[in-house]
Amino acid sequence: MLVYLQQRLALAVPVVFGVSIVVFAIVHLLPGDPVLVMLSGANATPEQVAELRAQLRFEDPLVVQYWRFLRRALVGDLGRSIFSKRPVIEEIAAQLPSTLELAAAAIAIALAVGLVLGILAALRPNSWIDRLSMLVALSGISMPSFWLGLLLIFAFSLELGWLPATGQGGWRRLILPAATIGLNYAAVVARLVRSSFLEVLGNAYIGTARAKGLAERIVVLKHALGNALIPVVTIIGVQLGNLLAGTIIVETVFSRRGMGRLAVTAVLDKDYPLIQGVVLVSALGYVLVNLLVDVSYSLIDPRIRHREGAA
Amino acid sequence: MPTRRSLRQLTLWLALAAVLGGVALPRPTVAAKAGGRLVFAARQDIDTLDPHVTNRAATRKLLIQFLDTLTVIDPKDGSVKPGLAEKWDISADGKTYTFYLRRNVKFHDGTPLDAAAMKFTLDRIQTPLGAPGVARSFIGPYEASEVVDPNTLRVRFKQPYAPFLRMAALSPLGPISPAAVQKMGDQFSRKPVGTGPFMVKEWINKDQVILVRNPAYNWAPAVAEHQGPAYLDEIVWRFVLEAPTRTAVIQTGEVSVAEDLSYADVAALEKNPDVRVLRGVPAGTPWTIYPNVQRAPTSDLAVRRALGYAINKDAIVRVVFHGESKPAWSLLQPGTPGYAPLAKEISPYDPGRAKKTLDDAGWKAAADGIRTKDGKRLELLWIFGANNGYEEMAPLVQAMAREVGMDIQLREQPRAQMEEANRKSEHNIGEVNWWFPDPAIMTTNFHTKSLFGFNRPRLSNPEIDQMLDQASAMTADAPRMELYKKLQRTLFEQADAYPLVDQVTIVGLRKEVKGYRFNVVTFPILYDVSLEK
Repeated sequence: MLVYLQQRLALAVPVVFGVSIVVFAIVHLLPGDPVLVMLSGANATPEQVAELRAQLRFEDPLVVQYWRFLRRALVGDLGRSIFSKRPVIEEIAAQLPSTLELAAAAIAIALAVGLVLGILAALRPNSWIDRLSMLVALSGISMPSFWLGLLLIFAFSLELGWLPATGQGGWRRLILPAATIGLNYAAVVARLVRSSFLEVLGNAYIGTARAKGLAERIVVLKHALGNALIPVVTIIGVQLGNLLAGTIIVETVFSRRGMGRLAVTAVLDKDYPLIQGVVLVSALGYVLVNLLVDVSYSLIDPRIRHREGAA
Repeated sequence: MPTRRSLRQLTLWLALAAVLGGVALPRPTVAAKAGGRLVFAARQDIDTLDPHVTNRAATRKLLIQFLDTLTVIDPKDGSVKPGLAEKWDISADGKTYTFYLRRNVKFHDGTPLDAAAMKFTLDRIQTPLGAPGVARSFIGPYEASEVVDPNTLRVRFKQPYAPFLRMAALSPLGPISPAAVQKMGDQFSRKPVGTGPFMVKEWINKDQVILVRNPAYNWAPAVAEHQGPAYLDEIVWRFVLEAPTRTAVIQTGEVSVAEDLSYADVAALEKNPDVRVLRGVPAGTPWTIYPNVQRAPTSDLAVRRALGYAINKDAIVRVVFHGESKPAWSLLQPGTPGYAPLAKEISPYDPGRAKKTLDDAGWKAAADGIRTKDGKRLELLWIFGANNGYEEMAPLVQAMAREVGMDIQLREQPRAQMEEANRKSEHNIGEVNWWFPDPAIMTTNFHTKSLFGFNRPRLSNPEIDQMLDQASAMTADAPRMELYKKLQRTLFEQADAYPLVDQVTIVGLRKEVKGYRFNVVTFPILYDVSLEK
């Protein structure tokens, strides 16, 4: 298991390195000049522009700039934001907890809603409950989060007055934004759980379990659920990127702070160090989650663990 | 409990007051009470809190809450009144300003405000602090300051600089504590120290800025509605970037003030008895587009004039602004000194005249309705900025121009790229509008020295440059404004700009918010605000 983990971690290094090169290239090749963005509100002279560009060392060749960036990044220094002048690490550290909180709550909602809908649908295939669940799932997938978010604000803040529409702090302010992402996600989970469950329920060992006279509850929760969960765990890992992308819109609509807001501002301002830092940290997070997903397979399904051990 | 009818009358009255005088509210009739926390939903995030670094109006709305200024512009009539300077003299040549400072004024950290602190502030604007902020443009041809005595400061300019009295009323030129700057270093931009009625407590990135009352404040300018400390205990300035979200939170009561409401939401909000809608007309320039005189076909005067006749501003007001504003006929906003609605007569909406002008100039309609001349189609490129406010006006103007045989092509670009394209003169039509209390903003829009900045029409006309320079140097107000009027006449006659619609600021207030006023560029003055339950 430890060897396996080490191998996976070693593989992550070239991935993150590759991401850093791609991001650096894209950011610098896109049209638009951060110096002009910085000066966009001022009536600057060409001399001031040149002075600022020299000060930020944008005149060096790209390779030199990349090397400078990489050398510092290796020791955990992602540079300073050219706008706020604060270390990029600090900027990220200030926003990351809020996004993690949002992502965790969204996943919790997605799992709760998705599992219940999916299992209910699978247990009574083609019944009204199945159709209703899948209709809910379909709407969840189809609704853009921007629209769903405003809809939730309209319903639960404006009309019912149950929950605050915006802001930070406390579970009440977390529910609506988390639900916006989570419901979208729950739809995917529900459909997957349904099909996976139907497949598992058709297996011989379920028949055996039932033949033993086990209560249906135990058959479903103990024998079927674990096996049906594998693809769900995979999809959660794979969809994490979408989830992070979702936070960009959701954080804006619900005016929460977070990585999404940070990323958008960084891109609009063409704040090179900040964009690179945000993408690098997101890539790291993505790699880590996929690692966790791989590890969790073996926890859910001992056969995977044993196969690895044998190989 | 006010009836809906009285509410509507109040709103109408407010709108009228706002349009006429730039003032929004009558004096509170009930004695304002101290205390409370006001949550403000702001449209835009800030870049910094350092007044000398910022380039954003979003930041300046916060600066005015914790900085005072040497002079103050009375929002009622646009006149310059004493602020931290009790009085001032201007030398005959217009190059030297002497300010006599108010005594017993202290910064939030206890440092006394004196001429040395003011000199420190003005000198700091000239030092490189990273990108030069708007403060550097506001201070103009600054040369040096001289401490005459602890309460007298002499400010010298390289050239005569008439706009300075109004510039000195802008928060980026307000005094900051030299002791705090030295002590705090980089941290100053997060928690700056001024002399204003509120103090910065905390700035949480991407989220909010918290301001608290300055209990020692005892030097409010005479134009304020009261004296002594502010009424509010605390201001929570939250960044709520989405217009629909701002509309929602002002209705739920999560915030007390929501700025820049969507025009489309105003009618619905006015039906809500808990919310008041306030309108203000900021000083500055209207929503305006400019033809590039250096690039064909807008280098052709006939084409430029015809485009002016083709634009139906009433339709833009109706469709884009839901009737919330008015057609613009001056290069300056109503209420801005130098305002002169001359385009109404020089460049009225008249599609027939547009067609005739083009016919006479040899632009003949082809089969597809678009005119051609010497084998060239009458194609104009409008590069408009993403979220720059023109994106809904552009397709309307495009359709109006098509009616007279012009093909306007629209290209949307992020604002930074739009600026770059404009500076490279790649556009036929450019766009820019300002919040600014002085007609000297026309130098920014039309002077040769602004070709690298915001000179959208790419004008480099010695006659216009000379008028702009002369106007910037004139200290006597009346002849100065006459010159700006003459300038506008020349620019309209050459069809160098098309003001489309006046800018209007729309703010939603919960009904308990009393004493809310706009400053001259419709930034909120929260010093006089109180919350009455």
